[in-house]
Amino acid sequence: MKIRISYVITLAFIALFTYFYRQDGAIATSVVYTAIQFALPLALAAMVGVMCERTGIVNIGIEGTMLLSAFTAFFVGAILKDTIKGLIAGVLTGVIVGLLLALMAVSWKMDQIIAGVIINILAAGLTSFLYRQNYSIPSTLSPIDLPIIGTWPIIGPILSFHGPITYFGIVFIIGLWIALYRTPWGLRSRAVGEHPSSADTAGVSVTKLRYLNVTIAGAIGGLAGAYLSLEAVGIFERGFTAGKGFTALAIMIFGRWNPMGAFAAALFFGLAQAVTNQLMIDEVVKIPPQFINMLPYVLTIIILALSAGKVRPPAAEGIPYEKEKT
Amino acid sequence: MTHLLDIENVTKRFGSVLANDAISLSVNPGEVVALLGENGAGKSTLVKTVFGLVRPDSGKIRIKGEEIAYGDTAGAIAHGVGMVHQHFQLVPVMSVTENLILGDEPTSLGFMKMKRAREEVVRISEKYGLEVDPDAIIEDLPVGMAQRVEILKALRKDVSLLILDEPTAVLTPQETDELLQVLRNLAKSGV
Repeated sequence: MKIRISYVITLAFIALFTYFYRQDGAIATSVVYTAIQFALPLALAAMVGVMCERTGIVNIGIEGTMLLSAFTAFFVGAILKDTIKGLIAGVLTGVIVGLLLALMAVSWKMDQIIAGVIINILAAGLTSFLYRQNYSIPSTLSPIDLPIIGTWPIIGPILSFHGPITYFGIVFIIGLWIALYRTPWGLRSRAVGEHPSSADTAGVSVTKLRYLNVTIAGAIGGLAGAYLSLEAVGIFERGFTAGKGFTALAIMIFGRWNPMGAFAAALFFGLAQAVTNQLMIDEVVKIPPQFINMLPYVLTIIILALSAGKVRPPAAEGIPYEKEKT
Repeated sequence: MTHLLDIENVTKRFGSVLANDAISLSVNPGEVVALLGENGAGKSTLVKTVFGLVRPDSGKIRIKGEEIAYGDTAGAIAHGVGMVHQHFQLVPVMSVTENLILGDEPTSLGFMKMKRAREEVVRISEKYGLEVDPDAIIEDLPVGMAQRVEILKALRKDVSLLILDEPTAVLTPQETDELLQVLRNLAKSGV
């Protein structure tokens, strides 16, 4: 069922793209290029969710992780006048937030929803309080012109000239997908998320694996935040992430907790946004921009409503593991 | 001759409940020992202690004369202890093969070798006469079958001591007869 829907969407996309490409090639490719840029932070944030929830930790603090990382990435980059150092600071912030979540959810066995809310409130408060105007980073992370592929027609202008985080992100998503289904780490992670006592009795440490995955996920959340402030726009403002971390949770569910599924769902979101943007620029449709900005949230609600009851989350998600209870 | 298993004066309390009171027990190789007792008598607690799932308050556990660390499942497995749990320790949405290799996966260059794993499952299931479909998903299997997978999971790790916690509670009478036959065969083959 799922596969057929995705075939239909893919075919419809190819047909539409061909139609618009014949009308105006440059605009058609630039819309898809923009779609990738919109999709990437959502896709990376969804990977945070996939990695955490597959090992049984609910992470609704993705929004906060991204906001805090975007903040430190931008201001470290601006104060030290070095974008790369900003990037490192952003990723480290993500790691620290990841460790904090692991501490609360795994060691202290706190309610994971509350742990996530704490992270979100902490991030919103800290970044608003510490925010200063009139800072700027020396430059955004510069785009890379892909050799060979860059010169191909259609594919070149779509895939080439993205920033380094974009390329790393795409490689990471594919790598995570392979690792989750083809390596011992993946099998153990999935077992811990489904039935932790099975993994424990097989000699797999539930605590260690949860700490590891939540921390790596934190680093990726930090990367998603750094992408927003250092690669995509090069600025930081209060409430900068605008709910992307929550949209990412919907994307994760839409992608059925599968990295590639979530990536495809993120691309679909990005495309919807890029197309409406283009329609607005062309003044084909005359809608107030506020309505266009609502689009990701409306799509989120529709997707969650459609997938309700049809998808099954990892069974042990949100439940702290008690060793002696087994 | 050293005993396969020595339990010496093991005591475990859960709050105010005294589950095990200074229990001592020895088991020889090739022996089938049954622990009988009513609900709450502490049978499960005792066997879980041997497998390292429960940390005893006092007392010692020795396997082949070697003392094992408490509360350490991986250590117990390394000493050749296998356990079949009352509540099956199987991941319901995974296949028989995936469940059997969990924790000790055959790999090459960091990737799991599912074909080799599947062959291994077929080999051990033939060796012990416990037939299972390696590709079946656990949640689709009848209880008796799932228990076979549990037993195979324990046997895969070169066990010399196999612990079964309330193995017949979930079985039909026919399945129980089969299980007892399997256990006699295992005892003969030296487990």
